[in-house]
Amino acid sequence: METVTVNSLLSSYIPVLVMGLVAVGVSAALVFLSFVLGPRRPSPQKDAPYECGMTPIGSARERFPIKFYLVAMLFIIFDIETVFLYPWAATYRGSAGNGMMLFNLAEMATFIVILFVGYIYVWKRGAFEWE
Amino acid sequence: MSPIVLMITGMIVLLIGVGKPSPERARIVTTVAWLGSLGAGMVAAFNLGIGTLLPSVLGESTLSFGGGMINDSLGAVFNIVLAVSAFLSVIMSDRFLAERRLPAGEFFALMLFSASGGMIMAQAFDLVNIFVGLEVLSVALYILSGFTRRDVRSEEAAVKYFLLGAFTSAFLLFGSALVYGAAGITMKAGGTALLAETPSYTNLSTIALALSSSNNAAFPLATNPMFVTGAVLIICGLCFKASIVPFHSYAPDVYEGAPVPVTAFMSAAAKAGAFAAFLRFYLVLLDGGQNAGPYRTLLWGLAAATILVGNILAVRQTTIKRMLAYSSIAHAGYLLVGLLAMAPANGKISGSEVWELAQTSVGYYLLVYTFMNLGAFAVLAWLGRDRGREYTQVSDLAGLAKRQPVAAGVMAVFLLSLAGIPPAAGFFGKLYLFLAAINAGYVGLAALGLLASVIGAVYYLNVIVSMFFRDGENGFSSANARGGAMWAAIIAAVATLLLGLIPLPNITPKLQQKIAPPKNAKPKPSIRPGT
Repeated sequence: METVTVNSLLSSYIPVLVMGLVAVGVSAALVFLSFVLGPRRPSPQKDAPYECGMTPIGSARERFPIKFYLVAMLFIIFDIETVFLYPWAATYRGSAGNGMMLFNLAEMATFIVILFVGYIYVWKRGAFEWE
Repeated sequence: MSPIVLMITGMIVLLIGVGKPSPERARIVTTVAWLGSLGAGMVAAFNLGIGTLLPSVLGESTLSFGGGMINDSLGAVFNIVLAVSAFLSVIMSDRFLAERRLPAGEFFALMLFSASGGMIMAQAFDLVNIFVGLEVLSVALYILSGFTRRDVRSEEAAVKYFLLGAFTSAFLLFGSALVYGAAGITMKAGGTALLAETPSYTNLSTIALALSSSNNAAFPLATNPMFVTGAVLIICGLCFKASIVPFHSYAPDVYEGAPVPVTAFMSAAAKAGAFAAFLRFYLVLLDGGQNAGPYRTLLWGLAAATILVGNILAVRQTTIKRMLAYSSIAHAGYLLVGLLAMAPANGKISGSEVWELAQTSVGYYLLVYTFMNLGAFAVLAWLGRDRGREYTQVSDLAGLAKRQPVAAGVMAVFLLSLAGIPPAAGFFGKLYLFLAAINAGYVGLAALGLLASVIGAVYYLNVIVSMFFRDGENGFSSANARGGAMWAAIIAAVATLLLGLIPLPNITPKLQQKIAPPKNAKPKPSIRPGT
C-alpha cells in the first residue's frame, strides 16, 4: 500500500522552489555586478534602440487593419485541425486490433464535418477576401 | 440526445443563414431554429417518460461516454427547461432582429449552441464535462450579449460578462483540479481501484466513492483541505452562473445591456445549466456524511443573502430589465433553498421522501420560472421599439392597459406569477419549495423566504398598478405590433396558468397528507437510496 500525504506531495516541489530562487538570485546578481563594475562610454550609436536597420519612425503602436487578426484566428483554427489529425492518423492503425476502427473513423468524421461547417461559414461570410 | 439535436440544428441554421440576407431567409432560419428546439424538448420529454410528469431522479439512470454523461430524469427535466427557453427566445426575436438588421443565422445558431451547452451541463457526470458544458453555454452567451454591436450598453454588457465569466470559469477549473488531486490521493492511499465504468478521478461517482468509502481512514477526503478548497471553488464558479449573491453584481448590468431576447434566454438557460451541475455536485458532497455540515451552512447563508439582496434591491429599480434582473437573482435564491432541502438540516441521513420532494420542487420551480420570466421579457420584446423609443423604464409601462390591453393582461399574469400569487404557477412553485424546506427542517429559511416574497410582491404589484391604474402620457402608440414575441408571450402565459393546475405525482399526495393527514398514518422508516 502506498502512503501519500499532502506534506510529501508538496515537499516534492521543494527542488523546483530552490531552482527558482537560484535562477532569480543569479540573474539579479549578474545584472547588479555589471551595473557596478562595467565601464560606461555612451555614444549616440550605442543609445539607438537598434544598431542596424531602419531608423525608427514614430510609435510602433499604430492602428492596423483588423483583417490581420481575422487571418491569424482562422489560421489557428485550421492549424489545430491539423494538430488533431496527426496523432489520430498515427494511432488509427492500432485501432484495427481492438475493432474500434469504424468508431474512430466516425469520431474523426464528426470532427471534420463540424470544422467543415465552420469553413463554409467563414468562406461565405467573406473572411478569406482581403478587399 | 437533446444536446446533439440542438447542435445539429444550430449548424444547419448557421449554414442556411449565411447567404444573402432577406426576409424569406430569416423566416426559414427562424422556423428551423424553433423546430429544432422543439425537437430537442420532445427528445427530453421522451426520455423523461410520457405520463410521469416530473418524477424524481430516483428512476432509472444510465451512464454513457465512459461514465462522463448520465441519462436520468433529472437531466431530462433540465433539458426540457433549456429547450423551452431556447424555443421561446427564438420565436420572440424575429422582429427584434429584423428591425436592427441583425443576421438571424448567427444569432439563432449561437442561441442553440448555448442551450446545448446547458444540456451538456445538465447531463454531465464528470467535472471535466461540467466545465466543457459551462464553456459552450457561456462563450455563446458572451457573444450574444454583445450582439447589437452599435449599442454601447450591449458592448459593455458583453465585456463585463466575458471578463467576470472567464475569471469564474478559472475558479471552477482550478477547483476541479484540486478535487481531482485530492480524490486521487485518497483512493490510492486507501488502495481503492478505479471503477471500470467510471475510470477517472474527476468522475462524480468516483469522488462520491472516495468521500464515502470507509477504507480511507488514514486519509479522509471530506476533511482534506485540498478537497475542501476545491469544492468551495467549484461552488463559487457555479454560483456565478446562477447569479447567487456574492457573485451577482454583474447580472443587472449584463441583463440591462444585452438585447431583450438574449436577456430572456440567459436568465433561464444559464441558471438551468448551473443549477443542474450544482445539484449533482451537492449530492456528491452529501456523501461526506457528517462532514457535509459546513457546506450546508454555506448554502444556507448564500440562499438567505440571495433572497434578501435580490428582493430588497429590486424595489428601488426604475428600469424594467434591471428590476427583472434583481428579481431573477431572488428566484435563484429560492431555487437554492430547494437545493439545500435535499438533505435534512439536522445532518441525519435523509429519507427518500425529503430527497424526492426537494428535487421535484427544484425541477418544477425552474420550469415555472422559465415560463414566467421569459414571458415577461417576451412582453418587452413584443412592445419593442415604438416611434424610435424603447420600453425601458417602469414608468413607460404606465397606462399600458389602455393602449395595449392584451399585452398588459399577459404581463400581469407573469408578474403575479413571479410574485407568487395563487392562480398562477409561481405560487405553487414557491409552495413546493418551501414545503420541501420545512420538510427537511429548514423552517427559518422558509420563513425568511416567505417574508422576502412579501417584499417582492411590492415591486411586482407596483408595475401592475402602474399599467392598469395610471395614465401614461409618454408618447407610445397603441398600435398592437404582431410577431413572434406576441406568440411567445401568449404561449408562456398559458403555460404559466396551466402548470399550476397540473397535479404532480410525487408532490400532490404529500401535500394532501400535510394539510389533512389521513388517520392512523404511521411514519414509515426509510433509508436514503444510493446515487
